[in-house]
Amino acid sequence: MAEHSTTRRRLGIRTNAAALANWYRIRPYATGVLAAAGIALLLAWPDIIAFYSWQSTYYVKLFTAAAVSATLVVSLNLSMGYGGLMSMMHTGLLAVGAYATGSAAVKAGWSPWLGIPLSAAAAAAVAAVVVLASSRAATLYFGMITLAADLLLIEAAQSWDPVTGGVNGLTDIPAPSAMSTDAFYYLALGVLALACVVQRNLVRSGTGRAAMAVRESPETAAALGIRPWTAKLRIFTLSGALAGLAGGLYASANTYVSPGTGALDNGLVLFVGLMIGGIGTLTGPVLGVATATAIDYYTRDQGHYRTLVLGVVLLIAMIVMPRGIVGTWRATPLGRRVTAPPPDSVPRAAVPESIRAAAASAEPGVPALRAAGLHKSFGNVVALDEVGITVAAGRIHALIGPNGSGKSTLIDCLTRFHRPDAGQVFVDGQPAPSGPAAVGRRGVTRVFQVPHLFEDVSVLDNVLTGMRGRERQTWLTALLRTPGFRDEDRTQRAEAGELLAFAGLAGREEWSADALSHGQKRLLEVVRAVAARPRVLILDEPATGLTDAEVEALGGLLRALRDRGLALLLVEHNVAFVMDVCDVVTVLDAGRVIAEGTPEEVRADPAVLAAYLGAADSQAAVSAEPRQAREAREATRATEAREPTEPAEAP
Amino acid sequence: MWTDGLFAGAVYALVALGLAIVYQPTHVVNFAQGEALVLGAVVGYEVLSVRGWGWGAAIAIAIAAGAALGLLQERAIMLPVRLSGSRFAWIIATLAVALILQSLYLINESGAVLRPEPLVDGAIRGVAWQKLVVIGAAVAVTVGYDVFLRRSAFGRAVRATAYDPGTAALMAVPVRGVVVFSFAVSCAITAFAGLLAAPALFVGPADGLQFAVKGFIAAVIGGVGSPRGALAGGLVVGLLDSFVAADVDASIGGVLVYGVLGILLIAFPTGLMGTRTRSH
Amino acid sequence: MIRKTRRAPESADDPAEPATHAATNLLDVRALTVAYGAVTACSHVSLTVAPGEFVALLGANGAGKSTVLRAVSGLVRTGAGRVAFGGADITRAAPSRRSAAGLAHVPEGRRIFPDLTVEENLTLGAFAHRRDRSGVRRGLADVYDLFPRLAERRAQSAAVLSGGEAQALAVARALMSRPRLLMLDEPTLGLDPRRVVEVFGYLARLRRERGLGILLVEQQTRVALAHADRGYVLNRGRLALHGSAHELARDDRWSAVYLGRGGETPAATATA
Repeated sequence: MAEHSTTRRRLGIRTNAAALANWYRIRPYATGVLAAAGIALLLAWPDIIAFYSWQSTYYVKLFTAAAVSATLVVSLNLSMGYGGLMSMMHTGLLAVGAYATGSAAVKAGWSPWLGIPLSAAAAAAVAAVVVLASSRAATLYFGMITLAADLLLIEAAQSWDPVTGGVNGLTDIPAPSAMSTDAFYYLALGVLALACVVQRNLVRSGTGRAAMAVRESPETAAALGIRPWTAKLRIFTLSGALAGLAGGLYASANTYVSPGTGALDNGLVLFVGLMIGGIGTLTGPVLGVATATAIDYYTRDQGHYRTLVLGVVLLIAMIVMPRGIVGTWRATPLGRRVTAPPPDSVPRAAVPESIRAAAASAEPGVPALRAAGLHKSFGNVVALDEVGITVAAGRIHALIGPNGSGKSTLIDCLTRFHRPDAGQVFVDGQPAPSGPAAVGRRGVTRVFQVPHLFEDVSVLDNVLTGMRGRERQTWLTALLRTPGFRDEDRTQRAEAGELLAFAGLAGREEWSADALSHGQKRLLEVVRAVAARPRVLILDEPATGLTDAEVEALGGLLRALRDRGLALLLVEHNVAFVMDVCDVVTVLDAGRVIAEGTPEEVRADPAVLAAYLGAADSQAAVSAEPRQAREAREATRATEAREPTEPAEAP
Repeated sequence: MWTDGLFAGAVYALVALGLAIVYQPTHVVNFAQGEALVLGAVVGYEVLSVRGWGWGAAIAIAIAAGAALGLLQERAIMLPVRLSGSRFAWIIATLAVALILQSLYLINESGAVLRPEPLVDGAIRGVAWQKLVVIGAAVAVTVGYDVFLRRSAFGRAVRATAYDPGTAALMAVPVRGVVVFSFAVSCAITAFAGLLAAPALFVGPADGLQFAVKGFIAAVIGGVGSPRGALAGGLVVGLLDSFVAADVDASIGGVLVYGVLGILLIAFPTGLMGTRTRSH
Repeated sequence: MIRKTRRAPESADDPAEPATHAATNLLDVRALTVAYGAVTACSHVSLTVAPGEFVALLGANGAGKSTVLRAVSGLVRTGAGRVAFGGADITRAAPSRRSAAGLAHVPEGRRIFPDLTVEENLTLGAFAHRRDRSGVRRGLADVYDLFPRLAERRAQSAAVLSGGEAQALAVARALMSRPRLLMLDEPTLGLDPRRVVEVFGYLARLRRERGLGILLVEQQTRVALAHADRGYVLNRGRLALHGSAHELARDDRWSAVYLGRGGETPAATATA
């Protein structure tokens, strides 16, 4: 919000509500006309330039090279922008593709028509191997591993003489079917279009949403039943395939490939394209590459000043417009996605049909979630000591207790984010599976204390991500947008719309999630979790930071879920809210259950108040409480970043 | 052979030390680190070969110019990192700075052979004195920085900032100052290394990135935590490089070094560079 | 950065403290509001600590207690309100300046530096006075006198200390900066009751012998009130109760603060 107003001030735009409303009405047409004009220009380019210039071949080749770059940047955008996977090996993947086509043509005499698909396959395989090898690596590490991979690819290209031609590389790589420059330009344009369509279809499918979920928070994704590792593998392999395609074209367009093709230095222009255009946007890569190409073209006679200018432009762009052309445009009132003032939407009385607990497999009477004898210690301090809890369907069950009493550890053990040292967890009477994503798929979904919405994504897409676990369609049908995929997509969207309307978020489907208030975000998170159609919903401090009205709306939502047969487990510090909304309360202190019962019973229990106030007489407390148990408080506190007393410091 | 490996290793070790010094408080792997090395070579060439002012002036100018470059890099890298908010900002900013500096060197020094006359001429048993000087300097600088970290009040503040900037600030440590200081010192050390190595090593104007990558590998192998790790890692990389290159094949040497890097990164996904990876 | 205080106009909804105290107060926080992004952690919190006074800041989890301390020491940016220390406005000063001015903060979880030895941790605490070597030596002798067990472990890595020793080190390190006000964030968390008694013992001694002002954030409400002069109680980011420790200890609204009463929030009930 603040950004909007400062940008507005900087641009000196006096926003006029009526004029803006008019602009929003015509904006789709305006952007459509602009896009059509752009596409028409690209299609007619060989004819236009032949009319104006003697050197038309040069300019067609310039555009061909730009189209190949743009394909590569789209691929990089899939990996870094949508997948959150830092890649320093895209020039290497380009080289792999180029060598595949080149080697097939020069050494084996294959037609590039065969070589280019081979390029895609080879680069996809390399990308897949890198992801498989680095499954445990975090963001920074993944980037470093891709750097090592890139260096290895270059060295391999230098030493694998029979296939790569060694340090000299391969020359005289033909174009497919000895195409003319113009025909090859159209081929490159076609591949770019294909890449854009793949990117769009993927981003608007469950596969793409899963990757974005993992990018934002692997834990949240796992809690929604998404396996982070699979999501990464899919998006990076697809990104590799696109990079390979670009490489195949690159080889044919330049007629040669050398180990230097894979050098990291060449990556600068890719990063310029990505950062200037706008990372994580659909059109950003194309706009960015257009800008970078223009810079490169106008500095073409300047020798080493070209890199200098490119580098300086990149640094300045990062400072002046951190979100690139597309992101900056969206931050202005003219470009922002939220086009209408929020309709005054109140929670709808009718509970949508889609809210229901997933069908239970066990016979009635079996609790939805049960744990017995849970024991967990960190080092030599005990965080959970013989804790048992039974959460029944159709109940709101609260878990309260002083700081560090083991609440978050208990939830982590229930959802398998931690492995308990002893004790069992049962989902519907069956032993719980071992991984968090598997528990999610069994119908136990969790909402974390720190909001993990996918902020740059629309409200609707956030809810759709929750449905990922019960999607039937695959990434391939998503890419092709088969009728079956469209059917499912339509059903999901309708269902998500109902859920949002029920939570009082109707009319905000297309807003990006970061435009919501804090309270609306929490509601959206609950809705997203409900969209997974869980049997058990675990909420970690959902009321923190909400206004009284928002707390009330949340309470209404939780009651409706309970009435539909969900089991709810609620960790909460807002005790008034807990006492108001819950059926059963369990109180933990120092890793033990000290009380359980209705809110009235718990409130009347003197042990509970004592636990919160601490002992007045320390000597008495020494005998009353084992030292070990009290030290457990510190341990749980120290080990669990998710249970701070206050929200973590904003970075 | 051994001395060649140790000499190359000493150069990598000093680059790795520079990388580690910047990484500690900022968690930025500075791919522009190698440019300071080239700067040292450029200063050596300009001061010694072109102007003939002698080694005393060359050392003073190289260190001063290195520190100035560090201050410049701090601005050019940390400002975009702070403002952009992208988790990839640091890598893109450091790469951009590296290539900007590289093109500046190419513009001003193209064609020049950055190979000034050595500080100590001649050789002993076929080993150039200059190489021994570099090896000695690497050990001295590493030990010196280690002592600075351990013995001085400011050194302790640097270590504290590396561990937890927030709490360090509570101890009246000027955290911003520590970051600026780290950039200046790291680039001064690397420029000094470039100056000393230039007479015995071919440092081309465009070689900075390559040295940064080798230094990075050395830092990862040694563990980015400590100066001594940087020294050990650098020597390992240097020896590996020269032995494999001589015995087997020059290009297989590259495959091997990068392969070791890849395996180390894959095998210790969180361990080598400290467990507290902050994402930018 | 540290400027002389100019009296800001009293905000209407800030009846907490009469203006006459201001001149004598060591710490004077007025209408402090801090937000983390969209979440307001505390709003309109006003409190004072006089020189040599022991003040407890109490409240449930997530009430905003730590945020108040972090804002006073400059670790988080204040959204609105004013913080004055020793009569000087420090609302916008860098944390290192505040520390150098005599404001010591022992953060939540102690935050000792495990890579450093015990003595290095302590000398780091005296970073602002690092040129005064003999002063630092005297300071070391003083804290070793106060915490003999730290003296025994001076050359060991701080990582091997037990919970109680680590807490002592965190306090001792703060003392090395020669503070006038010591702010402690839950020093007793994770300590067994004997160590809790010990902590309050040395806090009392510090106050007696050095005239330190103390601002203590604590969950162990009863023990804290048994030792403090005055107390403030936060509930959901707002000041719910405040008064002398004696009165607060007898107050019957504690159950409301911690366990609620039928949806009625104590913030709405009263300010003592």
